[in-house]
Amino acid sequence: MLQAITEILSSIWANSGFAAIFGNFADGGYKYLIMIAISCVLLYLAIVKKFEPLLLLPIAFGMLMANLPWGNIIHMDFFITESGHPDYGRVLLEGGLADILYMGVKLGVYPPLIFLGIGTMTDFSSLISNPKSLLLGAAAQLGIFATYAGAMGLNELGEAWGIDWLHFTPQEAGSIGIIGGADGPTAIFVTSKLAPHLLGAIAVAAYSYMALVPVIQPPIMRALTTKKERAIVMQQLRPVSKTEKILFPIIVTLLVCLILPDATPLVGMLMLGNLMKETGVVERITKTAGNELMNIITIFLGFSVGCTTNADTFLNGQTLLIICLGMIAFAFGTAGGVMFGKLMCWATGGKINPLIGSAGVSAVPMAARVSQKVGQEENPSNFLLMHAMGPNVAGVIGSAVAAGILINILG
Amino acid sequence: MEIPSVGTVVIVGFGLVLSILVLLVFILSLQGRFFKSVDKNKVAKAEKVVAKAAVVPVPAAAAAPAPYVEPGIPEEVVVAIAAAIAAMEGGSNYTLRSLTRKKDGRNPWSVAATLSYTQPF
Repeated sequence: MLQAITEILSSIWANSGFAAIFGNFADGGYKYLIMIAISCVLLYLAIVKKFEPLLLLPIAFGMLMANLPWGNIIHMDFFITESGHPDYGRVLLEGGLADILYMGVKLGVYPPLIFLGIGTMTDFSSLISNPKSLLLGAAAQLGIFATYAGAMGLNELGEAWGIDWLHFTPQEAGSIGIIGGADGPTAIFVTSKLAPHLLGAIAVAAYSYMALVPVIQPPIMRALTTKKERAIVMQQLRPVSKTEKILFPIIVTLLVCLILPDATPLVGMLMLGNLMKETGVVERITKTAGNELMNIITIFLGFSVGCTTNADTFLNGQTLLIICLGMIAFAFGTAGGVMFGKLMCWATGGKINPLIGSAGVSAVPMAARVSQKVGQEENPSNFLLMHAMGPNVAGVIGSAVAAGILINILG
Repeated sequence: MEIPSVGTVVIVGFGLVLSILVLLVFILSLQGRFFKSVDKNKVAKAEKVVAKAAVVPVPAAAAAPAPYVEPGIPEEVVVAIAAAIAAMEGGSNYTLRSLTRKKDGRNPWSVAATLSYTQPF
């Protein structure tokens, strides 16, 4: 009997995660520990530092679950196949919870549904009242394309130095560049279409940097503007009628989606949510889209994206590079917006405070709050928030348009 | 389709984002102008109606001397301030001698409104 008990216990030990980690520690077991440590750091950032906790927490916990040996929470081999198409038959027959949830990412379902919810919570009045702020939203997309060029430029270095991981395909470079849009759902949408194997690294980088907007942006904003420019008080915005607010989502959808059909899922759903809010005739579903539906999708999206981060795809030089390039994308995006803001300041004879340009990187409403805070450092009675909300929401439209362009050209 | 060179992707991509948003600026500016002119017409019509109504003479109050009111301050504001002071003083034991705008700084009403809008963020 004692022998039977010993056999059962040793079998349980042999099949345990501890045996998988410590039994083959030097031969890959250590990778599990590193990934668990990274997920714990991300959990700390989400819980204690409040870095985008709504998404970072499920992402980090998904990462933790995906890196527990023998957990088999997700089967990425069902999705990344030799044919290039996911094996949906196996997903449905053999897949588990995370496989089924990940289908929403793979099929590009979750990001547009999140955009629907964002639309119900976004007030475009400041943009409608000052349409020129759209230009700042466009200028801040410079980071996306600059980083794309930078990532492609690294290929030559990789070849010259003979480093394998210093190489990105155009699709990977486009997915990395979109981090500069400072828009998590857009980054996930583009990456799921162009480079699904980088999804985990790009999602983690995008959401971490979005949370770090108050740290990354102010030094760039101060470096590129003068004290006098930062103290500019802008004129009050004109009130916008309800008819204008209702027409806005219809006009944007028609214009953007006719020119760029690839941007339709994101822009169309954003505008549908906004139309539902502004008309006021579908209050029940507006509340559902902005609360329950968005919360459910947020859980599904965060958890399933976190599950895609296994040691083999995450623990490599490319992930480090992606994190560095993501920072460059953010910095260039901020600089692009501020520089264009300076140009507009000069063109209008000092009527526009260039600080609102940095809000063009999206990250609503964090980036607008940063403009307000930096502006108030120079002039405490200055309220830039409402003016910065214009470029901020314009950035959401701009990054969705840029996403459509990247998918169209590189997809 | 073959993927274009890096320079082409950057120029076409960024150029297209800028062009689409410039087009939106143009359309929204036109829309804004249209609605502004509609609002102006509405205000002009409302002013005409008020002017007609004002033709009926109103007997002036006998005792109280009229306070000095700085040009540009609407009558409604004077009445609202007078009523507020009356409410605070608890009756008729006060005289409103003059009403002038604060010379420097932002309008306190505007600051209060801005604060109420920006506080949720």
